[in-house]
Amino acid sequence: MMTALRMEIWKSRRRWLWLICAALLAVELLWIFWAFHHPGEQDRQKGWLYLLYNMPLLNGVLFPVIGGTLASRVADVEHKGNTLKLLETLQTEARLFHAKLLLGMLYLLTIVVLQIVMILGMGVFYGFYGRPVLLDYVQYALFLFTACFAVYAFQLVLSMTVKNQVVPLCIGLAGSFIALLLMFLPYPLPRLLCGPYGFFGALSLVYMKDWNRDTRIFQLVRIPTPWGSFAVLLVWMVVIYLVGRIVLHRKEL
Amino acid sequence: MLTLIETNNLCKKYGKAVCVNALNLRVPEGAVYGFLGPNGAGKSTTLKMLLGLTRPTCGEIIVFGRPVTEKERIRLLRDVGSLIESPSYYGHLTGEENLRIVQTLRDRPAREIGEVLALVRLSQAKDQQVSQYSLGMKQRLGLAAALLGYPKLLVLDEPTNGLDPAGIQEMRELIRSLPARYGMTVVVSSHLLSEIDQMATDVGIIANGSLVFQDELHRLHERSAHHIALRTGNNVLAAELLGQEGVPCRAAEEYLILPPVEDGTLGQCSTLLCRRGIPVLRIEERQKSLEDIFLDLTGGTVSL
Repeated sequence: MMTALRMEIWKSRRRWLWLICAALLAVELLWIFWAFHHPGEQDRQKGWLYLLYNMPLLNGVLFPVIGGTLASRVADVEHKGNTLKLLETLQTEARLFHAKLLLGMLYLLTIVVLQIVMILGMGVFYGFYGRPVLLDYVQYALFLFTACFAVYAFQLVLSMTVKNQVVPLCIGLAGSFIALLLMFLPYPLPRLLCGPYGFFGALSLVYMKDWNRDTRIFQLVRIPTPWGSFAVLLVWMVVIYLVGRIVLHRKEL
Repeated sequence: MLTLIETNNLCKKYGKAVCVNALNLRVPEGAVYGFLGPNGAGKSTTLKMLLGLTRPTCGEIIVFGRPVTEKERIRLLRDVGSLIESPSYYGHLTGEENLRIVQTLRDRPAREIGEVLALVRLSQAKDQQVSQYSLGMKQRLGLAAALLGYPKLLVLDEPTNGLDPAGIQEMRELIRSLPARYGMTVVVSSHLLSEIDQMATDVGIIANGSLVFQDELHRLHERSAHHIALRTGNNVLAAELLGQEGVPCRAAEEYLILPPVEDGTLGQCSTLLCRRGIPVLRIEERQKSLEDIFLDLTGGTVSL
């Protein structure tokens, strides 16, 4: 398996995959700069919770596109050069699929770690009051990574199956809109049923209440960890994995 | 002689369309087996089934004496190199980097990359990105990837596609030399009879999904027997007279077809016909070309 993964890393030379990850982080960094350009007392007081509330929203909008692009870049190398008919005489399609999942996992892990570092760095930079709750950020990282990976896996299956990469990319774009729309729904059920896209919001640890339109004052509350939604996401991942395995196994070259 | 590839009643259907029908291939060890057939006859599908890239609808494939099953496939293919249809490559990587992937997955020593690059004359271009290669260079890179590990069996689907005449000749000579140099058995498909004729030792001809001929190449040549075609002013009477003289003949269009008789016998026949007032209009010595045989075997309705 490690050989297959090494070969995936080898293949990603000159594919600029890290640039896709950097683009996501750059947009998020710009957003934080914009949101805190003149931090007031309330911003500093609620800073840590505010980021925990907003980052999932931002991830929900951006990640389906970024994940779709990443998956497309990883899968497209095989379509472009007709390499599947060579590779599948050297390794099973399952091993190839696993290696591509692992490659994505490495990039996603990097994104998540850098995002956490970025959040903590910005908190220190803007002088947020108090210390961040470590457990909250560990849970945030776990949920973000799992949600990102589910979206990536779903997009990878699409990109490996369909030769024309416009199709999975459009689906990723649609997923981004779905994720955004689902965040406005008060009911959690649709978020859990609309594929892997709705989990960025569903796994948020912070809830906003008592928002005042005139004073723009609101309360941010740490809600109980949504382990139920996380369990549903894990079920989605298993389904995506199994469907991916079956579809790729049945695919004839 | 050991049979390296054997298929029994191999079939492939796409819906109701039968692409390959009850194919019984026998590829002997050490042969260059030319798999010949018109476009769309089922050559590529058959080769893909041999490699497990396409699942047969029915039938059995035996490679190196072992049935190719889902479980055994990758293990058996360790000794098989392949180049199917267009060459496989990563355009953003260099030629050498491309081969590194195959070498690593095949678990072969790195020095073999240089060796196969030299074999296909790509050493000069090894550091160039493959997207900048010409079609012929990509084809040679595909062959280099197939040769990596010096497998016992090489499956090449139309390997001369995209090559210039010099490249075709070079490729042909390389393929022909592989059994002697490396002990390989080569299965090479083509729709060009002349190409197979110049490099194969054995031949299988497929038409409309069915194998219509399979044997050593010289057996195919044996079918191209000489005969004499004779055209007279009265073929019916001439046939009767020649028959009485012990020269069998049969009518074919405007000619009488005679076996390859001696010059003296033919002279006597000619004199006899003239004496009986039957003018001899034309005498031709004919030999059935391989193309004729191929067209006869494949139904002759398809382009070569």
